[in-house]
Amino acid sequence: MLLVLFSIAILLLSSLFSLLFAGEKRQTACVGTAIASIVGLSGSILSSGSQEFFFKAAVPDLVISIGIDPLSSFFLIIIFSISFLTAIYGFGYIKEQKKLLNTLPFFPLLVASMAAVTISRDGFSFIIFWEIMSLTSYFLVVSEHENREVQNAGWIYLIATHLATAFLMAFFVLLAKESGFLLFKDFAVGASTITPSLAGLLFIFAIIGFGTKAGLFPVHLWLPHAHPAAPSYISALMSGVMIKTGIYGIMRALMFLGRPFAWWGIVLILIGVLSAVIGVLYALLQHDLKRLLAYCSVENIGVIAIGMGLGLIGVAAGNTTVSALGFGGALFHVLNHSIFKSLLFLGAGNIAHGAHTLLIDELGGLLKKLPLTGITFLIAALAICGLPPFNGFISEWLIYVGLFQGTFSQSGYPILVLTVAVIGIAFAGSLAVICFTKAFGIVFLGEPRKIDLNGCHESSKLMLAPMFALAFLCLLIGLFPKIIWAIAFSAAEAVYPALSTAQTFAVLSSLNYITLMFALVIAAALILFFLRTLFFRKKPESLGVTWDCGFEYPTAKMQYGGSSFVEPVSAFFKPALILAADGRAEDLSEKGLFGPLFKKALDFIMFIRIRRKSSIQYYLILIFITLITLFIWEAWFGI
Amino acid sequence: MFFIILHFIIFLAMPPFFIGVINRVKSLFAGRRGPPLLQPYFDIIKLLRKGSVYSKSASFIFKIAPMLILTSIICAGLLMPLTGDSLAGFSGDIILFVYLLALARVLTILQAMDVGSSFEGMGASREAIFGSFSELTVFAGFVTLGIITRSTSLTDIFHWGHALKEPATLFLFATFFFILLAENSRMPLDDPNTHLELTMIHEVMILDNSGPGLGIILYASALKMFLFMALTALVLLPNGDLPGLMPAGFLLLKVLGISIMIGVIESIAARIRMIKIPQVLIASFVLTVFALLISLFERGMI
Repeated sequence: MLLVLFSIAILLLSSLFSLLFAGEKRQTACVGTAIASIVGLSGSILSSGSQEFFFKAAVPDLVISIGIDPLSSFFLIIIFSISFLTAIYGFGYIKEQKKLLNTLPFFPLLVASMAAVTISRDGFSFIIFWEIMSLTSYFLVVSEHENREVQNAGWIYLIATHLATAFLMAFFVLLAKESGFLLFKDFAVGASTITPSLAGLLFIFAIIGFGTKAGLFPVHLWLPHAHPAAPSYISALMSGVMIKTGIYGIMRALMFLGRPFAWWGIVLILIGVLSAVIGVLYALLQHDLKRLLAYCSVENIGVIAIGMGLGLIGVAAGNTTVSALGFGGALFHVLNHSIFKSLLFLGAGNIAHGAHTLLIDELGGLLKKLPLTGITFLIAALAICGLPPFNGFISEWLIYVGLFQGTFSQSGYPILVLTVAVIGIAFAGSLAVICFTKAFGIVFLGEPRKIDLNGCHESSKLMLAPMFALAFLCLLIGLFPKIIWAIAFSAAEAVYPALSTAQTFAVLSSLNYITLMFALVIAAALILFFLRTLFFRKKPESLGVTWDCGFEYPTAKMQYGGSSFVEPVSAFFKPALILAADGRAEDLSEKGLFGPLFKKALDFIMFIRIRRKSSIQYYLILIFITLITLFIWEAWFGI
Repeated sequence: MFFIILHFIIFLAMPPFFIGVINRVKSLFAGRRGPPLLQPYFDIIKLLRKGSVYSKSASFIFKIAPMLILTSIICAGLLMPLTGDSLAGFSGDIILFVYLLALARVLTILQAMDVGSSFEGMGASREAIFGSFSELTVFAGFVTLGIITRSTSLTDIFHWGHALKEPATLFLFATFFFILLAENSRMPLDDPNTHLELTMIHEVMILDNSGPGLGIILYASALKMFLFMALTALVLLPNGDLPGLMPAGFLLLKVLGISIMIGVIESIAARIRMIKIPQVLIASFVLTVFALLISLFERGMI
């Protein structure tokens, strides 16, 4: 605990120093973040059990509390390990892109606020840290603010995140009215007496409020705008870690809502299936690599939501084994996704840096010039598709097994939802294969389409080292999943202590077998390579042109491009998609739901504004009327 | 120990033979004598002894992919109960089985995209989308089998001996047979013998392979086809609790029967138009969902 606080202090100091300096010296922010992350990481690994501290604030009735428990330390481990690696990458990245120095002081602040969110133990400070997190990340997103698209993305992010915060405020206020205090400790005590309808309402608020940050469909809107706009090391941190604070929030919120009902799980699973399938479908129909990755985050958050929904169904039915698999798998996937998604975004940064474009249809053949980036990107792509022998498989496997186990013990609506979930994850997984064979195959393989390969170059060692560390983690966690399973399980246990009765013996023995199988996959590959070199060493090898039906002069233009690669998919799903003229999929939630909604809101505001020449007295009267209305509402209905 | 060796002998040595059987059935239907039954072995050995020509566009992925494809299919084979029990079965291995085959598919697609050919890109694109539909169907089928047998391991699922008493298994057999045809580029979905690259799916993806690489890929696809034939056969007629060598012997007979069926279908069916294939695959998915609902209703679970 102390180490975590110490690391937050270092982060704040490094942010301050970097703000005071100008030019190259601002890099202290990256150095400070790296040091602070190491300190915080060791602190969160060493922390055991639960601790809480209370501070009496100068305001009456306000007690600020911070604390740490297995759930917090699980997320702290993710935050600090990824921030350490992105800080090193960022150091190398900014060296070559000097203009990003402007917003660098916000980087340690973002890390600090994410850590603070996970250790906050009262509604008041939670909302404050949450807002600091949103604002610092906003400033980092608009680093390249001279670009109009980036400004636009920043606005969308800011509006989305604040609308979500409104729901969170309502969430905490309602809880505070119920229990009388703003402390999480009291929320948890009040959970036993909460009425089902209020608990259901609070659950919905938590899903909307935290789900927006996490990127659940249909409130994922900001992700595909903000991630491409931000510099790559920031997208890696945001997509890898920051959106996970939304998952943390949902898990934390569940502690205050008492015993869950099966319909919560059903709702969460259905939202998860929608997010997973629609997210990956939009992802594979994008032309911009970072937009593709952003939509793919929506898919993975959907998978995590399915896991959590499964956990809720398990708890509601008293089947702790299913519940442990659901929550454990979801949290495991949180960790996995933070590893391979940040790796993919860092890889996209190298591509942007080396080839100066991120449009998939212009790239090609980069593996020859960026071999190390290519290998790490390939490992991340395989891992994110859930393919053995990497870590993505383990968490998807846990969720699958949980869903299967659930179908054995449930009946009625839950069993239908569980089978829909299995099929949904399977479909999302197989579409992810299309998405990432497109991303890797078009970008790295074949011949360059519009870029000049001679102008491309590999990134510096400082940028490649963190990527290799992440790729190594993908393999390592795939081979030794039990350690991560243990901490993910204890984090889930912190939310529902009843999980300690779960029969996880069968899961652990299966994990042993998976380790064995993964080791076999690797060993068999090595043996086959050995045999190949042994027997085929003397065989003549020669180079020729690519076979094109006897045509001897293939050119790069004759290749299949990214859009043509996914054309069968877009043709198949055409009735369900809004396709732009260039074949890109438009977001249904943007064009069909929030676009028209905000248009209506704008019309209404303009209506009021045009009525009166916008004078300050008039606005004051409006504010006054609103306050009076709210006061009467409060007095009569008591919210 | 004996069963481990037997498993490897069956799995590593037998598959090309069944391709020979299919070819023989096809030639008998066409009124020809046809190549020897062991011709697929001769082809593979011949290719392994040749040199290779690589495309100038290809990267190292192209060279290592055949070995990795073979690796993942062999590892998937360890999970298939060929001798009554599988070698490395555990509860939840059906997921690993599907994902290992998916790994092989991804590597094939990447290898095809590596040479920058329009034909191979075309094949890769088709394989990606059709493969994703069949993976979906396989998962729906496994959920159904899981609900019927209450287990998630291939060994346990196929120990269950009440075949044919379940109406759902007939539907499942039909869909798995369809997946077998789709995944292994057989008629009526894909034509392994065509000479027009525009209409091929799987074969067009490996156009640029030559020599040992091509040999390994042909061998790997024979293994993959054998796995799917065994799976399809076991769905209709599970092992049950037969003792000793009987499961292995019966399995080979069943697979032989399936190869003859494939040969007959290839001889009498015409190829479906390319744009119709997704519809056919979705139809087989719907059939699986139907089987799933039947088995749920039967157990009073919904």
